[in-house]
Amino acid sequence: MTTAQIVQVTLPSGDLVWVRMESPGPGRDSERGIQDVALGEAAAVVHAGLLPGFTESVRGVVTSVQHALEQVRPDVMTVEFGIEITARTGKVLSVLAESGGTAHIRVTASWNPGSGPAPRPVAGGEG
Amino acid sequence: MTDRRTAESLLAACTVRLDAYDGPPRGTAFFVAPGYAMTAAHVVGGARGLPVQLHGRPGFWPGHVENVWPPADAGSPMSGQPYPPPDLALIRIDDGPAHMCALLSDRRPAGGAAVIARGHGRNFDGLTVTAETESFTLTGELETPDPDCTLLKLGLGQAVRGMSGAPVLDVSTGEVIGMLRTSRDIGSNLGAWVVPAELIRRLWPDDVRVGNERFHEEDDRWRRVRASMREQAPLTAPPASSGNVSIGAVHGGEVTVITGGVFRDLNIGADIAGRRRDPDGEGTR
Repeated sequence: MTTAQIVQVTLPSGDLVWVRMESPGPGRDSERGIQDVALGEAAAVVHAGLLPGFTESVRGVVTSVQHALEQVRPDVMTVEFGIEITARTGKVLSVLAESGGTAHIRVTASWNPGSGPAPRPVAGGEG
Repeated sequence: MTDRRTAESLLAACTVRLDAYDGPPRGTAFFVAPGYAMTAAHVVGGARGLPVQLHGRPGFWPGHVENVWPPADAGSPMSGQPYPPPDLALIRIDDGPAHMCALLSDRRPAGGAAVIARGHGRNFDGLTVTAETESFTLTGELETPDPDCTLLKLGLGQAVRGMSGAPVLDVSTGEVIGMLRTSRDIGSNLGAWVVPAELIRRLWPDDVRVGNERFHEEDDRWRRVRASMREQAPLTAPPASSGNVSIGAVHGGEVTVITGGVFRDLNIGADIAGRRRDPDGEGTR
């Protein structure tokens, strides 16, 4: 069982967004049993409205997709993905949201009429 | 105001919230001598010299971690494991207003003692850190890999996040019997582990010991409360041979009545509560 709360966080751009943050409930094995009970620094960072690591996660995904499509040069590229914010003692992780064990990234590429996908360069052309 | 209420207010006066310097709250600490406070080592990451800020009713006190038992580099805990024993840190206050100091017991508390802990957690709205108290019952002891450190076990109370470093008050003697360091389960009333006061007194340096004694000689409010509670104890507690001791399970009502026996010496399990009825049926312990 988990409990969730909605918290407001500040993106690195300065924009405010609301994030659903799940906390492991008493039924979660990792939260049961013996444990030291200082206040969690990671949760405090999220509660303070900060998301360390967020910029790097977003930039990494977008740059990877950009690199994958640079040879076909779309006029418009849309990337949809989810980020899971996980607060654990000592650090805040932002990772690609998983569904059934698979990370989902939906990429849509489009070209304006007449522009068309760029021709593939000839492999091994440098020789 | 009853002696118990007075003792609880003195406990509140010596308890503070511990923050990282210019950072978020980390847990609880309590003053043990003028210019000194105690907390759990894991609250400050086991780091000597770490700058911290203590926040309480009269104001705030900047300070730093003067000593740690043991330091983090002397046996860092594995992830998810409790900090190595005894898990204590001494905070040296650099500045700030005068403050109350805890009156620490120099003996092991009686089995079954009723206690309260006062700490700072995020339990009101999940965001704001506020002070709270929780009652427990002393249920036993726990030996650790350190032969010089045997912890006290509390039951019948919920030790939530933020309670690390909280002083624990014996409500029948008026003395602080130790410092809460670890929850036995944050989601239930299974209780906590406590570093006993006698071990804190053994470890603190002479400056702190002298400061604590001098403080309570000059400000005898806490000692007077303790003396009054000691005087009253024989009057309110019926003779052991005629007292009724009722024992109830955690999640149930009273199930058994045992007559006779010396309740103070009973070692009861984590899931069992014991209390003796006063002749007038009001007091419990």
